[in-house]
Formats: sequence, structure tokens, C-alpha cells
Amino acid sequence: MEDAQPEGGENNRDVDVAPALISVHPTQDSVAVAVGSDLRVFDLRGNCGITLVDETGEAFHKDSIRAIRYGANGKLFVSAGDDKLVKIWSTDSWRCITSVCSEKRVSAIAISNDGLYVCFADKFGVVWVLDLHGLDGNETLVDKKAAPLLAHYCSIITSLEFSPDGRFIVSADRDFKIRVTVFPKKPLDGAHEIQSFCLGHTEFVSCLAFLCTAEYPQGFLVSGSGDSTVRLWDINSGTLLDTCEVGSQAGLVDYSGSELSCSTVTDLCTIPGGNVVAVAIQSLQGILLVSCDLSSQTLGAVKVVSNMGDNFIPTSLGCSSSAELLWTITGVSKLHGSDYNSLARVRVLSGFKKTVPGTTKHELTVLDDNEVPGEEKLLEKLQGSVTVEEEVFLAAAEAVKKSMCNLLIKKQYTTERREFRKRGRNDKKIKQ
Amino acid sequence: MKLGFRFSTAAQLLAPICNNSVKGAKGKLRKFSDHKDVNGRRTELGRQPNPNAQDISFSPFKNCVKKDMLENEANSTISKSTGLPRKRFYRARAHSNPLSDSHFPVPISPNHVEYSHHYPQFFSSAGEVGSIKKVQFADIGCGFGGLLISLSTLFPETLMIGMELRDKVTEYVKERILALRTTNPGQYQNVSVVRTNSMKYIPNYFEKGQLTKMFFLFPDPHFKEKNHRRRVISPHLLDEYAYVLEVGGIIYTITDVEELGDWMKTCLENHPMFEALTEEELHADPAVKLLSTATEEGQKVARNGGQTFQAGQGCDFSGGVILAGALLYQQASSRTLLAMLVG
Ligand SMILES: C[S@@+](CC[C@H](N)C(=O)[O-])C[C@H]1O[C@@H](n2cnc3c(N)ncnc32)[C@H](O)[C@@H]1O
Repeated sequence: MEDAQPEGGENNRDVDVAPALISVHPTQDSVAVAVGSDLRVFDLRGNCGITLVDETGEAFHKDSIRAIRYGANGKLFVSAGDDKLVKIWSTDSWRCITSVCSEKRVSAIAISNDGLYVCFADKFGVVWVLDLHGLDGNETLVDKKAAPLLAHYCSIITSLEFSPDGRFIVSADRDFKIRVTVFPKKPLDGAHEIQSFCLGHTEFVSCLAFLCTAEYPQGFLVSGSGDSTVRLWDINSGTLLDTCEVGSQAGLVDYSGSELSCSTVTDLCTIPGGNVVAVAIQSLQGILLVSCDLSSQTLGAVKVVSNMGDNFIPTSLGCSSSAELLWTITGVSKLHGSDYNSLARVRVLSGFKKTVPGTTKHELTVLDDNEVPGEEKLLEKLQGSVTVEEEVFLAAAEAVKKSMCNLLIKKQYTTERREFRKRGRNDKKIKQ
Repeated sequence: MKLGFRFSTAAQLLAPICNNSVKGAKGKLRKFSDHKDVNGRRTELGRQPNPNAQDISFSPFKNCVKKDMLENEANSTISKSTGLPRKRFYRARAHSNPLSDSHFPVPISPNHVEYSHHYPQFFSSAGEVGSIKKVQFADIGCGFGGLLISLSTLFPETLMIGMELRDKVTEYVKERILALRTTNPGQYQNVSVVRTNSMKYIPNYFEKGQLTKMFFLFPDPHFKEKNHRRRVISPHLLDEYAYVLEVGGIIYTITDVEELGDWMKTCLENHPMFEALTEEELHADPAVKLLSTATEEGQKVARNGGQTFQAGQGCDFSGGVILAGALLYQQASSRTLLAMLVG
């Protein structure tokens, strides 16, 4: 029987490469960046870099961070990744409240809207839930144990998201599936009731986001995929409402589809209230903006923002719920064969609240480094240095592409290699 | 010792058909990956006897099936006229997908499965706007298809499908159904089979609440603890089965492996959406009577297990465990316990 073995290739250096991630506090109190195992936070209120405090048994991350996220109420921040640690931080003190060990590497995280549950997905397709009741922001919690919530059978889960009303938890995987599950009253007993499957992507699903407005508070789901589309879904029924071929919209694909692998959607960020989704695409310099008309349930490409710098291909996007600014980052951990240990470049887009007079178009500007909140101080903290040489961008983009492939593409081993791996596994013994 | 006996009997019984062939499945998947997809015409089973397959006797069907397979090979238009599902099962993906570990086509969603190719007679008589029937029974890991064949005549108006991972076995079932349709005009129009990994792709075939019965007969035991997650009944997979079953729909399972029986019982009992059938319901259910006798694996257990097995007695099957659970609800409500029947 076939069986996913997602944890292969540890010897492969490319696996160590991780794309840089960015996340913005819901009311833009702070911005967090993860590059490799390094977590960097800048306090926008206090206008200073933050020194994280981690006195848990396993202090700080030891390997690439694969997911970071603020809770909806802004009190919590969670980071997790290849070192199998899920760290929950208080955003007041920036102390690590608890470190939970996962059995497998962690690929995605989500925080329930009330901030009481943290969910994380491991590389075997299991989503776990942590109960944070009784959590006091200043005490260091010990002995938190995660309970299994749901599972995608042996498929890496690439994204986890709570619906805006908190009723559902949505999980996406590399087998083209999006599963919508009722988030139960007692999550520790598991989430058994599947509301729908959103099926239509023809390659792995890489990212999820919700769009919601005052008229549509329950929200609509948008997803991005390796099939170079962004799709709009009704999660109640799993109905595919619309598909936007972002690869061709951004001018990356000819219609024969031969360049498919280059236009993988790497990240999505919905601009709150504005019915706009910012899309990062693997070979696109800049970002693509896709508009969503929720009353007609349609998607349409708006434009490519390309003036973000040569070879600036974002690896991650973030914005606060006030949506003044869209924060973007490109970067990668441990660039092989380069003098740089890691690379990160932050760029910020503003103008989502402004429209060009007489039209509905946004008046977007890419902020100069000295216009970015926090200016040099922020860049120094988040990027590691104020200036970043542009030559390394291309190499970084290449490395990110590779690491994404390693993460998502099923390894094709030769017969000998597979036999060798089998022999090395410790699960062969028959239990008598 | 009884337990030891059962254990080793089970291991020995299942070895030729399941363990070996399942282990071999990886190799087979590879072997055929660049060869032909499930739609491709293949009759290897007829030409080069598979040692595993030969081991299994289909007594009443064996001869006519083989004869018919040869006939079909000689004259492919015959099968064409019956509209058998060989041409195009699925709207296959336009390009081969290197990201998937499967080397067979997977329908993008239930809407993409061409069920009219599976059940041409039902679909041609349904008319353009006529009520289109949906598949209601699924035999998961159907093996050589014995259960489907028996169910077909027992429930002639119900569409049913087998899901089987092994390529050659699936081909065989396909040919078997085709032959039966030819030799019994008007019959066996309601059965079909697909090659797929049921653990991954059930939601790609069935909509929410579509199925009324799911069968898991003599599933592979996967004794090693690390491989328990490969078992076809597991807490998480039950969530998916609950999704495709209608309220009141039934899961049937049978095994002669005590350890697996206990495992499946625990999984079903602990699942809040399933409830055990009562003993009366089990006795009244015509499908239950087929569980131990209809499949090739069941017949084999009967042959080899001799004294412990009483054929034809349905739930009095003393060599193992029959479990049946009904889906209680789709909307979360209170938890109900499952009782179990052990022969
Ligand atoms: C022990 S046999 C039983 C066959 C049949 N139900 C019977 O009773 O004769 C188990 C069957 O399940 C199939 N199988 C195992 N895992 C499967 C999966 N994930 N999807 C579909 N079929 C599977 C195997 O190929 C094998 O034919």
C-alpha cells in the first residue's frame, strides 16, 4: 500500500531552506518576521525592536520556523516549525508562555477567534488542538498536551484557518483538498463533523484566507494553489464560486500551461473591508491584486504591483485588520553558497484606504525605506541589516522555489534508495 | 491456544491475498505508472495467470469469466456495445501530476466522475431530465468483487461501486462484471468498480450524505503498531465515512483477525456519530447474511478455518467479528454508545 513518507530527504541541504515569513499584529502594534529559526519582532507602538524571552525547557527555535501567527485579539502569538516545537508567546511581555512538543514537524497553525485554542498541523496530516483555558499571560505554562482534532490521511497540511464566525476550521492539503470541519464545543474530543470539501484545485493547495465584509459576515474562502489559480468558495456547501487564473493574469503562463510550476501561489492576504486579495506568486516580481465582488461572487484580477524592486518576489504577506498597509517580505534562511547566512527584505505598500479620485481604483504606493513605520530601526531588526544587496534576491527566489518543491512534491526515490530507507525505519517490528 | 491459533491462522490466511499483494502494490503502482491508466484496456489476468489470483476460486464464475474475457479480447466491439466503462471513466487530469503519490487518475470532485460510463443502462433509460440515480453502496477494498456480485441481484435497483487499490484486481473485477452483463442480459448493470486509494479519495467520488451502505470486508490487518494508521477503519477515517453516509446509513465490517476486530469495535464505539445496530436489525438485514460468505476472502476463511466457521449463518459467524454501525446524525448532537455483536 502506498503511504506518504513526508519526512524524507533530511540529508538534502535544500530542505533546510525556509522562506521568510511575516505577520502583522491585528491592530498593528507590532510586526513579526521569521527567517530560518530566527524570530524577530518590532514594536511599532514603542518604535523599538523586541528582545524575546524564552525560559521554557526548549528555549527558542532550533530549526526552520514554518508558521507564525497572531491571535485575532492580538494577545497571543504562535510560532512553530521543523523543530517540532509549538511556541505560544504573550504579546504583552513577549515571553514564551509555553512550548509544546509535536511528534512531527509542524506545517501550519491557527488560533481560534476567542483565543482559547491553538491548532497546529503536522506533516502526517494530523491537526492537533491545545486548550489554553486558564492561561495567564505572565506565567509560564507547563505540561500542555495537544489532542488530535482531525486528520487528512497522510497528506501534508499546508494551511489552517478559522472561519470568521468561528464555526469552522478549514484545512488545506497537498492532495488538492480543502476540508471544512465544524469546530466543536469540546475540541479535545475531536472534530468529527465535516461540513464540506472544497474540491476543484488540480494541484496542491498552498494557502487559504477569508474575505468578509459587513454584508457578508460569515465570509467567503479564497485559496491559492500550485495550479496557479486563486479560487473563491462557499464553505457551507463546498461550492466553487469562481476561479481566477492568476498565472496568466500576471502574464506568467501561456495558455498551453507549460510554465505552471513557476506560477504557484505562495501566499494570499485579504485586505480587510476592501474586497481585495493580495497574491504572491512564485515567479512574479511584486504582487498581484485580485478583486472580489461578494454580491456576484466573482473574482477579477486588478493589477500587478511591480514597482517593488528588481527581483523582489515576496515569500509572505501580512496586514492588520485596519488594512492601512500591506506588509510583504522576501527572504530565505541559510542561502547555500552565499556569504549571507539568511536574507530578508521587507517592503510595505500603502493606499488601500485611498482611491484615485473619480474611480474605484486604489492609489497604491510602495513606501520608501524611510517612509516605512519604524524606518531604519525596523528594517535593521526585521531584515537583520538596513540594506540588502539585490543580487542575492534571485538566488533566494530560486532557493525558495526549491524548498517549496521539497516540501510539497512527493519524493521519487529509486528502488534501491527506497529499500534502504525501509531498512532504516524502526516501524518494521511486528508487535507480538 | 485459541488466540494464538486465530492469530496465526489469520496471518497465514491473509498472507497470500493481502499481505503479499498489498506489499507488492507499491511495486505494481510503479510498474504500471508509466504504462496505462485505469481506462486502458488490459487483460493480463486472462493471459498470464497471477499466482495470487489463481489461488482464489470463484467457483461458479471462474470459467465463464475467463471465457468471456477471451471473447472480449477477440472482439472488442461487443463490450463497446454494452458501453462498458473502459473508454473514459474520468475526466482525467490534463497533465500527469508529479505532486501526487498516486499514479492513477483521481477525479477532481464527485461531479467529475462519469457515472454514466459505469452504469450505461441506468443512465440511458433515465432520460435527459429523468431522475439521475446516485451510487448508494460502496465496497471498500472490494478485492475480487464477490460481495458486489451478490449485492447486485439482491438490490437490483441500487447503484453500487467497489473501490480497490490493486490495479490487476480492479481490472479483474471490471472484466468479471462485463462478462456477467454479457451472459445475463439486463442484469449486473448496477455494479461497477474503480481503482483508487479509498483512504485518500473517497470525498472525490461521493457527495455528502450520498451513501446508504459502506462495506469493509476482511480489511488488511496491519498488525504493526506503527502501521495502525494504515487501517481502513480508524478514528479519523470514520469522520470521512460519516460525511459520505446519509443519516441512518450503515457501515458493515467483518474480520477473522481478533485484534483487528477489537480495534474496529473500539473505533466505532468511540465515534460519536455511529451507533450499533441491534441484534434484531442485524438478523433482519439481508446484507448481513452476505458478509461472511459472499467474498473470496470470506470463502477462504471458511475453507481453511473449517470447524470455527459456519457458512451461511451471517452473524453467527463464529470465526470472527461482524460489526455494523449506523450513522446517527449529520448535525452534532448527543453521543450514543455502540453495542457489538460477537459470534
Ligand atoms: C483482505 S482483502 C479483502 C478483499 C475483499 N473485501 C474480500 O473480502 O474478499 C483487502 C483488499 O483491500 C484492498 N485495499 C487495501 N487498502 C486499500 C485502499 N487504501 N484503497 C482501496 N483498496 C484497498 C486490497 O488491495 C485488498 O484487495
